Amino acid sequence: MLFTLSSTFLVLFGFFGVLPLASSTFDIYGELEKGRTYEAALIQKLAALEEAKKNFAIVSNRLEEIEDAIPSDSSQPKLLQELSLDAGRGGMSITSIFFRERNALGTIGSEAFSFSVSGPEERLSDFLRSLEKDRLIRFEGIQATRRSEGGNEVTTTTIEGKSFYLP
Amino acid sequence: MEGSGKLPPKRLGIELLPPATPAGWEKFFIFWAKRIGIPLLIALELLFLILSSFRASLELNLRALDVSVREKEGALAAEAEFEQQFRNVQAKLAIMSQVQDDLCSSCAIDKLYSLKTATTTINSISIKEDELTISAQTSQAIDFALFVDRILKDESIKEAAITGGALNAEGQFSFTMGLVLDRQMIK
Repeated sequence: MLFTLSSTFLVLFGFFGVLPLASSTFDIYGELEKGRTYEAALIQKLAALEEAKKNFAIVSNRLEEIEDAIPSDSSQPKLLQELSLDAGRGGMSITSIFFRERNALGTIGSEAFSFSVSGPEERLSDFLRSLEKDRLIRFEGIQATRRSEGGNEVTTTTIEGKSFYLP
Repeated sequence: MEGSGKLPPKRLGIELLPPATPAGWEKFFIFWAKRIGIPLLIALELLFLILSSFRASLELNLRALDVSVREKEGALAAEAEFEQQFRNVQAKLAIMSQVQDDLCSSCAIDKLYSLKTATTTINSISIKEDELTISAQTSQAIDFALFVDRILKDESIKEAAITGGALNAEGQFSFTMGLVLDRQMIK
């Protein structure tokens, strides 16, 4: 009788009491470990954000310049307006412009275009310099050819480039 | 002595049953219960208590961690806008830095015009990556030699190759030349 009772108690208590408790304790321990890892990652991210704030303060006075260089939209009329303005400043006139394709370079989008300008040879580098200001443009190819036009020497320049935007 | 010679009655003690000595299975069961069963039960109960208290402490830690994680998540959520702005600026600066590392085209053209002699006329210029190809003509051979000499002496020009040359009827020397520029030095 004693044997039966103790055996039954062992089985009931052991398998239905201790084992589930051990299992749930192990689960909680696992959850706690995961939570600690997650918390450590959050702490790291918060520290990185603090560091980022310090770094951001350094470039905060350049934000407008950066926004001008890479605007949030890829407005073609605006780009055309800017190129015309640069051409005018550089003493050149735009003869044609083609927008070729849009691509995404990670989070940054890019718009490929090619355009031709004509004007005096000596203004070419000034024109290019004015293009390098404000809007960020990557020159992929420049082809300048000098020719006579009505007794004047005119340089026709075709530029293949890319402008960038961050939607 | 005869009349009074009665012996007192003999007192009989209680006849106790001899202790029953368990044997066989019964002996084994009792042995098992006393020596193994009870200690095992005590050990199991102790284990249960230890596990229960450990679990309770883990639960407390988990609750504290949950509060702490929620606080940190809240702090991060509050900074989400700044984080996005920072990431955008970072991406923009990265691409700006890449583009700034490219060859400065206006500087390359300035460099070319600074090297050419007064009588050298440049008819066409082509710039692709670090390569600059020109087609030009000089009215005097000595000017061409001077132009080449300046190119060879210039440290910002890594390679120079004359790819073609011809003397026309007017005595002008037309030539094509390919130059590889050092983008770091041409700024």
